Amino acid sequence: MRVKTSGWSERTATVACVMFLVAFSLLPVARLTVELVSGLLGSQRAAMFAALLASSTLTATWHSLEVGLVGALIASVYGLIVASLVTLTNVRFRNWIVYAFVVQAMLPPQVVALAWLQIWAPLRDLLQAWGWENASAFGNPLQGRGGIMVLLGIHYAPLVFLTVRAGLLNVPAEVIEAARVSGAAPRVVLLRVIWPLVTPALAAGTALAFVSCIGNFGIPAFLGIPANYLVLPTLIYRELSGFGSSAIPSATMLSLVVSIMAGLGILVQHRFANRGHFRVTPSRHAGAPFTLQGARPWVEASLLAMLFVLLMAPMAALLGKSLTPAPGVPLTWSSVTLEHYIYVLKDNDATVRAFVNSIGMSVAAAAVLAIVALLMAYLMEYRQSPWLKRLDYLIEVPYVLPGVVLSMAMILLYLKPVFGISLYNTIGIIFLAYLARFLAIQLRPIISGFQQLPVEMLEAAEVFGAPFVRRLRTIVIPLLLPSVTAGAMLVVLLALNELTISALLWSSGAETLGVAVFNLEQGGESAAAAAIGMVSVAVANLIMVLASIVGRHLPSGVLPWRA
Amino acid sequence: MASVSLREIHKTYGSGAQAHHALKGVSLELRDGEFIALLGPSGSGKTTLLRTIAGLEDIDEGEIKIGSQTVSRAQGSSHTHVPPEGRQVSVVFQSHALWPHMTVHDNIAFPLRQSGVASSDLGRRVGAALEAVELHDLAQRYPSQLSGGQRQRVALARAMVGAPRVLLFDEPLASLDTELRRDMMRQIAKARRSDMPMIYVTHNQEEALALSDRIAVLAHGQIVQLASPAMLCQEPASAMIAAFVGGGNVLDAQVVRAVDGHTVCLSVRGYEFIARCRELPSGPTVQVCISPAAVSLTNEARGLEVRATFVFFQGSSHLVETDLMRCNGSFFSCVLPLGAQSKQDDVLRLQVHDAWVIPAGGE
Repeated sequence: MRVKTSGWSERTATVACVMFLVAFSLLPVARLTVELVSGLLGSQRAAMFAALLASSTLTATWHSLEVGLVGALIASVYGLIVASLVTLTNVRFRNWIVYAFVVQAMLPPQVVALAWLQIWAPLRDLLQAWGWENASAFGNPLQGRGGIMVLLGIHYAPLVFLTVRAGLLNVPAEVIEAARVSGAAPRVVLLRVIWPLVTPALAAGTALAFVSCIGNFGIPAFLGIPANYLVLPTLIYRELSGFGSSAIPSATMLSLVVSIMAGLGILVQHRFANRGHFRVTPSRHAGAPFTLQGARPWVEASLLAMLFVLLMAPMAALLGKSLTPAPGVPLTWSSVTLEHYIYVLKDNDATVRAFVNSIGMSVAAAAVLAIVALLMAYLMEYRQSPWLKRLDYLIEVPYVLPGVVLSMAMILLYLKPVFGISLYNTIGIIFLAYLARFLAIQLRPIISGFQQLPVEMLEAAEVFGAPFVRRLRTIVIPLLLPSVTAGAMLVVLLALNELTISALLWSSGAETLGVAVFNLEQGGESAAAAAIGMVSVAVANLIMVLASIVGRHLPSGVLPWRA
Repeated sequence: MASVSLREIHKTYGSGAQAHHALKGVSLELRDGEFIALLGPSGSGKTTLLRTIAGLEDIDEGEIKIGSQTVSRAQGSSHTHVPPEGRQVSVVFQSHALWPHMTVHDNIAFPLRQSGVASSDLGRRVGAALEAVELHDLAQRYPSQLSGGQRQRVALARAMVGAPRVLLFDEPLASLDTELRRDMMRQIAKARRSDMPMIYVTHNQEEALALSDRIAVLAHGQIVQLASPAMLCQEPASAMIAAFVGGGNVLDAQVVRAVDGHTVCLSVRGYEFIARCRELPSGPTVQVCISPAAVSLTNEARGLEVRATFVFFQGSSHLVETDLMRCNGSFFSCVLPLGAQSKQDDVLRLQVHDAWVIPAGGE
């Protein structure tokens, strides 16, 4: 470890960063723990145990487990196959496939769920037209367990894809060539050499997908609540929205259960994420070792067709829904209407507020986090600050914690006024939760930017006498601006699309876009929900395109869809 | 019968303005059991040539035969390419390329399993291969538990075990230090078999000179000289080869007279000396190669007068750089014994014992 002296301004920055971590990462978890321990030791014990053993809890736990496991399995098979085809063979349109595939995970899950739900109506009409009379007797087959599993699997397949693809790109070309010249046919090379080498990456990606599946709120909320199929996050939501603060003991208990499940997933992920590194740096990376001959057009066509169906079909259904005047009215050129868009963007106060709130909060959160993350990265990477190094595991905690658990912790922290300021039932509590949740997202690209930056550049600035603030202004910020911008855009993207946190923390006047879609759909106004969904998808794509332009020269992996 | 034969191999990467013509009509014949080194600077095409023999790269034009089997052929529209797994060749890679998830035993057994060797036979043959590289007690280790030298030995055992028709080496010693390099060179020399030719890619002249029967020097995608190590050192075909395998002292000299059909008298700075040549020079000047060790100090007035511009102490001798300019713009240097009292700025009188006239047309 390098030992360096640092001036008072750097010490101030260190203290500020440590305080930020304590306030936003440590305090929520600590508060939740205190609530749990004091409740179990005190008067709430009976209520908490009753909640733990209630049949609704056991059912929801089982549901979370089954959708988590099956969803992760679907994500892992799907992600592995696509990653292998895209990375190991000479398929063309590679960048398009990667973008289209990873974009799925960047879209708001509640909008994805809403979009998929819209497919059934036109499909049912089609089936009836083809002579299947009974089609209308069936409910929407996506509602309930199967639909949740499939949609979660598709939605989180990109997580597996990205870790497996990184693993595959890390396999040295010579290791594959050695197997070929040893007489192994391509199939044997894949099964005996390449896949075994990426097994740790696959396991880590699958564990991550599991954690994401059990923490997801949007998909089980849209597909599960109407069918009365509840998982832990939706059960917590129902308890809190139904019974208010009297449900806190049981919601705390449920948070503990879902946290334990997520924690086990994270342990598995960590155990595998650090394995499978090669001692030698590969002299060449394995480009695309397998050549598809005649099969190439077929593979390309089926990949593109699959992505098109999985991405475009629900989006088309969503667009159709948002342009149709009323349920049952056929969509034709003459019946197309923009009334739902006008309604959500202009006439409905709650949705207009939601746009203002979400855009304002996501931009503000990105701005605050950019500054904090820049300081933190500087102190951790360049100064090797022992304080921040000791606390660095805290950074990820609010991000990997299931969203409902973070929300529960925020409720407990701010239920009563702090320093005379009451944040509960205001937009402030959502904003603080965003700061906690998205620090990791903003920090990651900046850290990787720092790691690419030769230490000598900063040392030279120091040797030539530039003080801390000037060093940041003249060296660090200009060189890391692309990383900071890319991270900020990811934060805006995720905060705009977020529902899990605001579902528990919103109040009248403090709606977010996610909440607006959810409330409209729950209130039967699907077309208006679809209109907001379409706007969100358009904005999300716009941000991704902008981020791609900014991030063109960033190392691969900083922007997930440019891996 | 040649056991490996390359005929007019062409290979181009990319197309249009970015096209890189990596191999420009390379032909080479290997006899059974012969050891040939492909020697050249980076970018000369030597690794590409090796990879086309292994089948890891396709060729654009030409023909490669291993034994009587045509493994690559490209002529107009007719194209044959046997994939690497169908060629019965082996490669020892620079980075050893052991599979990190398999034990040493499984790494070595892999080629045998691919060719369907019965499991009863497997253990014996893996054991024999490990014995050959003196690592029999490490069979159950993983590659990460081995030292760099041990890994490269396992890679050699893995390449030998399946009795390949050709054994290829791609700079196998580049990542080893001097001591391990010598040890591996011994192992490789021991591994030679009368029925198996070896092709060894390197940019290190010491390895090429020590191991090979013949050395093919490559430059810009072509073989510029194919000769035994001794011939290569004594009679380099061009100034570039002289620079690569010898000390690279190539000077411009005036032709004084022919002595006989293969010797000629030359003059540099008025000093006259005898040089060998392939054919008598036609013009008034030639390029002459003088090994740094082929000169000594003389007390006679009649000597090559040079001024020492820099003296490098080399432990057992001095390398003296002089003010005499070589053809390529750098300076003539010579190796002198420690006792010879040569200091910077001294004027030295040198005697040339051996010299070779670079054939005209050698680049």
